[in-house]
Amino acid sequence: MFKTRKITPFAFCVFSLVYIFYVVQLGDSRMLGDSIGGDPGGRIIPLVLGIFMFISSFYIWLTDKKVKDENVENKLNTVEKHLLILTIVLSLLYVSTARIFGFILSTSLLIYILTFANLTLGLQKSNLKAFFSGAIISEIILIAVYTAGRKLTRFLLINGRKQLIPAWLGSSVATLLLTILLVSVLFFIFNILINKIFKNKNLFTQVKMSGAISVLTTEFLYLMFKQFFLVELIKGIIYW
Amino acid sequence: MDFFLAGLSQVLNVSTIAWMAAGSILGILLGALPGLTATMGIALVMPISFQLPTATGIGLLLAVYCGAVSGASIPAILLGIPGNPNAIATVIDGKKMTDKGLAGQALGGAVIASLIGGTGSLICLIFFSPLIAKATLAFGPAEKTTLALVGLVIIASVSGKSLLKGLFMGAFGMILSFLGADPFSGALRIPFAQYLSQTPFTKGFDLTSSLIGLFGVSQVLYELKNIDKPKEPVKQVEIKNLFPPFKKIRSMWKIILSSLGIGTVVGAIPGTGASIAVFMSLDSARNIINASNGKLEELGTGCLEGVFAPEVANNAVTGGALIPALALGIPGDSATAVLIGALMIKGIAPGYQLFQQNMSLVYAIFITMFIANLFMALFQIAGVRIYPKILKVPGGILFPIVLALSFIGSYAIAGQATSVGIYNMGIAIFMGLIGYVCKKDGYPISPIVLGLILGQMFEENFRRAVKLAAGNYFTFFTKPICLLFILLAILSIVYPIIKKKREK
Repeated sequence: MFKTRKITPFAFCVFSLVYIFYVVQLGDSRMLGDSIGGDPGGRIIPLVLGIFMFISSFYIWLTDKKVKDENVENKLNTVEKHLLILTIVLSLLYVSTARIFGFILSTSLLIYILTFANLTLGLQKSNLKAFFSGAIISEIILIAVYTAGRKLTRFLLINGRKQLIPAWLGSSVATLLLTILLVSVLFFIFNILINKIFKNKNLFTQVKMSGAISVLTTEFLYLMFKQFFLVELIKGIIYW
Repeated sequence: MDFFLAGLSQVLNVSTIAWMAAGSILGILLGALPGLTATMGIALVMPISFQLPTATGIGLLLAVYCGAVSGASIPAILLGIPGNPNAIATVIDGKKMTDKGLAGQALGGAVIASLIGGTGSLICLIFFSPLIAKATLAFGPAEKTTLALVGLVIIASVSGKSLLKGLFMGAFGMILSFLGADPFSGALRIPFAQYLSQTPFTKGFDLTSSLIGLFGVSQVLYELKNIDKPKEPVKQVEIKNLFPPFKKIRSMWKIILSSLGIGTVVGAIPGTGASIAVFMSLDSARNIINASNGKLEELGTGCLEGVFAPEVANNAVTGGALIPALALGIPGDSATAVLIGALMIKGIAPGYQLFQQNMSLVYAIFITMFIANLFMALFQIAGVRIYPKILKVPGGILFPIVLALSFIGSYAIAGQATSVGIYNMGIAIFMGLIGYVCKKDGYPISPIVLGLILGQMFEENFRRAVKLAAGNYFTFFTKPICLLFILLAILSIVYPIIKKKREK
């Protein structure tokens, strides 16, 4: 049956049916103080929509048949499928483990793995050694940059408040700008060091690119949301 | 005048100007990079705008919107690939101008056309939106119910190839908006309520996270199909003589005016959008050229007329789409749907109330729209030699960044509440997967957004209207405005069916 018909409308059909049962078992809820009557209740619209969705998806399922060679450009090859699954799995892992690993680690790893996989068109066995060493080095650099930035921020904010340094240096904008400056300088130094240590240029470009993108993006997002907008990002393992 | 000055004071400060400048540059980049869309850009910066004062936040979103619509012309002219569907018609003459060595004039012309389109439609927005909003004074719950219905039906009927799929997606968006507490009784309407009553599920589907998922996460997943395809090489194009002669622009005044009118009107019709307006404007330009007795150049030969017509029209859509959005709360396209979402998050309901109670904000929005258009032109001209270089950035690098920004953005909306933040990220993934499946199978996603935005409004007003009519469901057929809206809804369902049958 599924050889000639598409699976999406069928999935929507099942979903609509489940939704109708859910609405029915949920019962009706009336307006508070509706003693005179007249309120149609909270069930009617969801129920009508559920029935409409069931009928329409059933109709689409019956009529919208698969056509041979349809959407050839939409069909994914092995590499694309591999990358799609990897992206979905990593996204789910990111959300489910963010509380444990914290924002800094999980975000940088997510970006590093996906960038590396996209640039090398999938995580191949032959690349794993370079992949892991790159991941470890970029995490070390990120933690170093983050820690230095954090220390500087605290120093400026606390001493600015105590008026041990000029007050403008302790303002949130000056703190942010100085932290960005420090982070950039540190990143630049690390970049030079890595270029000198790793001379093998073959896979090095992709590893370096992935590492740099992950470190810079994570640090930028951290500075933007945590330092500028004061959003409480999860600390996780890196608790300082 | 007082409102204008109050609005001006909300906008003319370093913070707003700086955020708008950044938004404009980001918008141009997003528009220029194929695979990234204006709606996605707005959805991604929405969490940032949420942290800013209202006028600044709206200014940032509008700057991204205007920048992205205009920026799409850069790859269209230089590479022959539109940055997004808005620039699809600019490709025809834009690329030919580049091949003729007139890339500079094409790019400069596109910027001038965009500026004319954007500011022209802004004048229409300033003139018409208060009038339409005033008309809504006569709207009671019954009228609001049918207005929400007509908005949903129109967008569902024009946003995809299949009317039924569009309507289905609209209904799907509406049922998602019902999750959470019943607006009248407070009773929980979530599955497994006995287990989930102490979790963020009780808050329902967060609109921002849903939008980020639908337009950010799903786009990343969808674009992975192009990741191993060879990228169009960006040739070194010499860009000189950036501005076309004024005489030439003046000779195209009829084309400019007709494209401006088409863009504004099409933009104001919910669900249509720039991709329809650009072809209509080209068609109209063709008629004007035919009647010009050879004074204007033929379309398709690499002429400025073929760049001006679509570029005026697609930027005129920005102002046009804001007319129903601000006056009625019905978005003209998916980008303005996201803008409405941003207003709602700030606790501002579009419609007459906005014009009556918060007129200074309305003026602030008009002023930011004007500045957004100015910045768009300024930064596009200033960076005209830099943007082609950015086109070389591979998607493999951009997509992980967009994904991370999507997650952090949905988390940040929750502010200090970690569990709500994680729940929001879950919504972003869920909606991302839904959006991906829908895009892949040809289901339009803008009706979901409309359903999410209008679902609650529809239900609340429907119940109020029936209650006021003492349980009479036929109350909607007794009011003339309701009947008009119902007729419009029926027409927008019947017309595409008749049109399809005629084509067959």
